[in-house]
Amino acid sequence: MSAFIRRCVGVLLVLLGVMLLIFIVLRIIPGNPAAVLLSEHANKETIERLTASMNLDKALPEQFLLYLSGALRGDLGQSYYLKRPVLDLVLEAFPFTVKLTIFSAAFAWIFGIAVGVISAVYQNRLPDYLFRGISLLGVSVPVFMVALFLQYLFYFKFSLLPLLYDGSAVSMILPAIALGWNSAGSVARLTRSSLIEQNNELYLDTAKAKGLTAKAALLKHGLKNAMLPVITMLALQLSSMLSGAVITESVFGIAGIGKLALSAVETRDMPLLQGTVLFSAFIISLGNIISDLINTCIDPRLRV
Amino acid sequence: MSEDKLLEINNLTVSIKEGKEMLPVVRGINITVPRNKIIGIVGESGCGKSITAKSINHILPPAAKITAGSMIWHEASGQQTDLVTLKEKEIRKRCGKDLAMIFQEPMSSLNPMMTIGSQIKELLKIHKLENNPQKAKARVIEMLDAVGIPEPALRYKAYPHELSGGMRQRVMIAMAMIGQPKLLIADEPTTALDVTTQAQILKLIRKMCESYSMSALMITHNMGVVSSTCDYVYVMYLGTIMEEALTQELFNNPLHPYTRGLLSSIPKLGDNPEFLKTIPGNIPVDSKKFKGCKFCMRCSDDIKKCFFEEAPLYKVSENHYVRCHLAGSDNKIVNSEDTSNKAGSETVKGGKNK
Repeated sequence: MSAFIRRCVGVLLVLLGVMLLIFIVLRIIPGNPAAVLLSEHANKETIERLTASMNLDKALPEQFLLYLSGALRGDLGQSYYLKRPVLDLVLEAFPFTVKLTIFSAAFAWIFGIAVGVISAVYQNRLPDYLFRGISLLGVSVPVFMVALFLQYLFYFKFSLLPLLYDGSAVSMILPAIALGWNSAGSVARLTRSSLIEQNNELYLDTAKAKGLTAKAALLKHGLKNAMLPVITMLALQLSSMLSGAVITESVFGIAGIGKLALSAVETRDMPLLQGTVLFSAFIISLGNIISDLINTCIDPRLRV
Repeated sequence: MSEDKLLEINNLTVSIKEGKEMLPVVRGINITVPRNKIIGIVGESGCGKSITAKSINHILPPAAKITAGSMIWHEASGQQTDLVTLKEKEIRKRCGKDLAMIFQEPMSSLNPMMTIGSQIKELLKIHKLENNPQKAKARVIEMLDAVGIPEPALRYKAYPHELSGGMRQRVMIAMAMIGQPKLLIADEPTTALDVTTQAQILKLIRKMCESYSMSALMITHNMGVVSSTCDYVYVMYLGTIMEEALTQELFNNPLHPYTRGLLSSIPKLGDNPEFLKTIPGNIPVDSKKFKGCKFCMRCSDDIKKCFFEEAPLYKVSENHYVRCHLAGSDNKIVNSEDTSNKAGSETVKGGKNK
């Protein structure tokens, strides 16, 4: 339990670091956001007034402390461009990202683990070569390529699925595959290598001496052991998906965290960008803790 | 040896793929396991004793293949089966039920993710020995008790890492015994344990053999293990049986220089502690071209003949055979052995031609 508390304290420190870092980076970028926000023809006084109201005229440490105290109270500031609280915007976008994540994680895990297991069982035989080729494509083809190719194939060529996300589950299929494609590839490769490694473990000999065939021994005894590193990877992937998929969400027009972050960059909306980055960091740290907890549940050696 | 045989290993040759060549590591050995007896195979690391054990229940590493020989399993009904020719499914049906095995490393031989109880119970399920889960659990607990695990009902739910090495080896023995096998293959069962635990485990194996009228094949490098447990011993060196005899006979009258070397390597109280006796040299790198005695490089008594001709297995008495020109030259050559050995070397050549 004390280990868990240590992890939580660690997460808080990470979040503080992320806040500081993003704060500094955004302040280094030249140009006054107030000037960008107003039109080119705004006069000096208007700009100065806006600068003051945005606290941009204060010293940097003071600005940071103001931001920090706001964040602790759950106030991540006001979006310059959309004129609404950042927290509301992030929480509105999050359900879309969650939906995309659930679909693509389901695809990546089912497909990735199945391919990895089949590859490992038929090691160095035809199915293995075939699936290894596929999973290599999985890890090496970039997301936007996969997304455009899927749109071309399933919308323009065969018109089976909608081009963009329209709120229906069917229109979520292509974005899910596009986002899950890389994850599926790496899950498949890790599952395969981890399962093959189990072949050297002595307990598989015990299982065979007990009367299980080599295949049954590998699937009944090897798979559970082989899953430990895979689960760590899955949790990391899950949290990175949850923190927003900029490319996939943009290509398919999904109003998730990634799209929000992208529009924040485009409009130089500092509070919104800070908010989305902070939120992503929070989700990824949470994912790490959760993966540790799952591994503790599965592996009896990690239980205290 | 009596006629009541359980397992008869004839001319077993096992080769390991090394690059493109098949390197024989067990070369045409003959071993007979009678019913209700404990048979020992003793030799240094790398002599092929573990490979011999693992070839019986087909758990050889992927690079190793049985290239010649047979392993005849004698049923009580008189029916005979050659285990070498069995398909994977058929041999697995026997594993756990007819043949059981315990291993050198009790630390890593159990699945770390499963409770020991469910691992033992799995065997009952595989062989459909007990379909009722409640009764199966009761049987497992009973067996854990029989192998001397305290509080067996509590330990049933323990994970391997929660037990000591000796306890885990007892769990392995319980797992081996629950299918009531006819033959227990024990591959260096005490090597990884401390001395007091060793003695307890050996005693337990003996007790189990007696109470379940089971035979055992004890693979070891430890002469002490042999003397305290085995009825009959095979001394193995570089994949060849060098000497075989009743245990008593072997210890009283060791004939092969290698056997004598092994016996004199046991430190005795009162010896000069500065000098431990050893057999000089290491196990040599094997060469197919070399036709002489495999031991002659390290032998203190070698004669010229040893370098050119491998000795046949000489019969010293009904219960004692030795493969040494010096020790056995007054005695009869065992014909069958000699011919089968030739056949073995031919098959190896045949294997190479493939």
